[in-house]
Amino acid sequence: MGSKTIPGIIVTTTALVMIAEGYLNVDLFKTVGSEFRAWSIIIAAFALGLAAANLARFHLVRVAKRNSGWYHNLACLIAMFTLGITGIFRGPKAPTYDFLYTNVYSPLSVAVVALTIFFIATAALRAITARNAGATILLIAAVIIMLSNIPVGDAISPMIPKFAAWINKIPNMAGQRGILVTSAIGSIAFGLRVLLGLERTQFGAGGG
Amino acid sequence: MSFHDVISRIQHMDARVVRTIMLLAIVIPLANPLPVPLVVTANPQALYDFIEGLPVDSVVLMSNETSAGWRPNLHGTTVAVFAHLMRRGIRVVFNSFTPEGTMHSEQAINDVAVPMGKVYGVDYVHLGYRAGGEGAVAESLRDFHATFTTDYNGTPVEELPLMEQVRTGADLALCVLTSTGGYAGGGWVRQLVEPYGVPLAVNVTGTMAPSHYPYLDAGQIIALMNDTKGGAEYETLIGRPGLSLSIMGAQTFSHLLILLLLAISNVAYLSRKRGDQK
Repeated sequence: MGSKTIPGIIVTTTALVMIAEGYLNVDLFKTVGSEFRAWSIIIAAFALGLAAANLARFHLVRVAKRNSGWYHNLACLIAMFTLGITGIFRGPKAPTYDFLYTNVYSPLSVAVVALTIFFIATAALRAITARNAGATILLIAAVIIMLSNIPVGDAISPMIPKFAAWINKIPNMAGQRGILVTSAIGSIAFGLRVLLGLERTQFGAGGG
Repeated sequence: MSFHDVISRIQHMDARVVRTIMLLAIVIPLANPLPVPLVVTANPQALYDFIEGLPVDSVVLMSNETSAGWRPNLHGTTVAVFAHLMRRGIRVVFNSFTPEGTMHSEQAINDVAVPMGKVYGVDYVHLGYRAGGEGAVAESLRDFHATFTTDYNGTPVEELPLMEQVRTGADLALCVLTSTGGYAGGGWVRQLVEPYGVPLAVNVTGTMAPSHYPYLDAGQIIALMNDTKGGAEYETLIGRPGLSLSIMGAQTFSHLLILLLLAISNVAYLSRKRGDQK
């Protein structure tokens, strides 16, 4: 038996049980399926720990080798271990952890997300133009949606929120339904490939 | 200097100037909050009316699947909805399937339940976080006690009076999901709405809201709270100004600046195109 055979058997068996649980009203499948889901919660928790260990190893190696920008890696490690050790030994409700999360981690996370507005501002001034019919329609829709997201839109005209609602409910929904259906079909196809053992990328082998 | 030259100069001004103007458009309204008149739209009104119609002995699940970076967008809505529920005397269970969601739940509890003098374990419970994504959601709705054996504080769930009445998803009157990604509303429709028939309201970022309209149109989601504006409208409805309303001034000016920049860009483009045609 190859090294990929046993994992493949485990994946196929688990998938068949979970599918059977969904389609057949049999107590055995429901019990086993529930147990599998409980195991997945435990595995996911271990995966979090593994991810943290992997991250630490990656950055430690770069610091040890003094790679370019190694001080950024060191800063990442210091931040990670400070918050992690504080949370583990003092608990997430401790004042120290709360201070670090509320006054350091949270504002920095918000700042990273907020950076996008500055790039959007530059793009709006330089790049977003009505070069063709499609771009014009996109631009008009974007303007209406943006105006509907601020109180000024209601003040300019009551038609703006109505037109924004129409954009969301008709063309947007049509597109989103298409995406939902195609992604569902894609998920089914991928699931079938996993069931049949054709998809082996998760085992580190090439696909097909 | 022709009109085209002027517009072209503005369009090609240093990016740092553009970003500085944007920074001022955000910081000044934040430092000096302006009263912004809001028209309440259908979705916040729908959620408000639904909560107003809930029996007082109902239990509502508030699941915070958020990350810290999106707190300003969504936290105001979470706090406003939680405050409404607490005012009505409706009991709330918090849980999370992202690690940072627990902190948001704790912040909402400290902002609302603690000042109101609500009793932990009786009026509200915080179950904490479980890894495992949609599988963990499904398993927790099948049996809360088996999935969350202890709450966020480490107290066995069996010792909490509120949890005596909450065993499965069927015991819930409503679920309010706050999400910043992943399976979001679609996953909860699959695991809660369809199997248990429990109404679901979704509080998501502006980029995620469009993808939830199919569920809203199908009636699988009863209300879609869209980012900061949804929260500001809900705060207006319950008469409790909070984070979302305080941000609306900055959002207004930043949006208006983007629209102005778009106008300049397109005027320059049309001017250049007309010049090329001549």
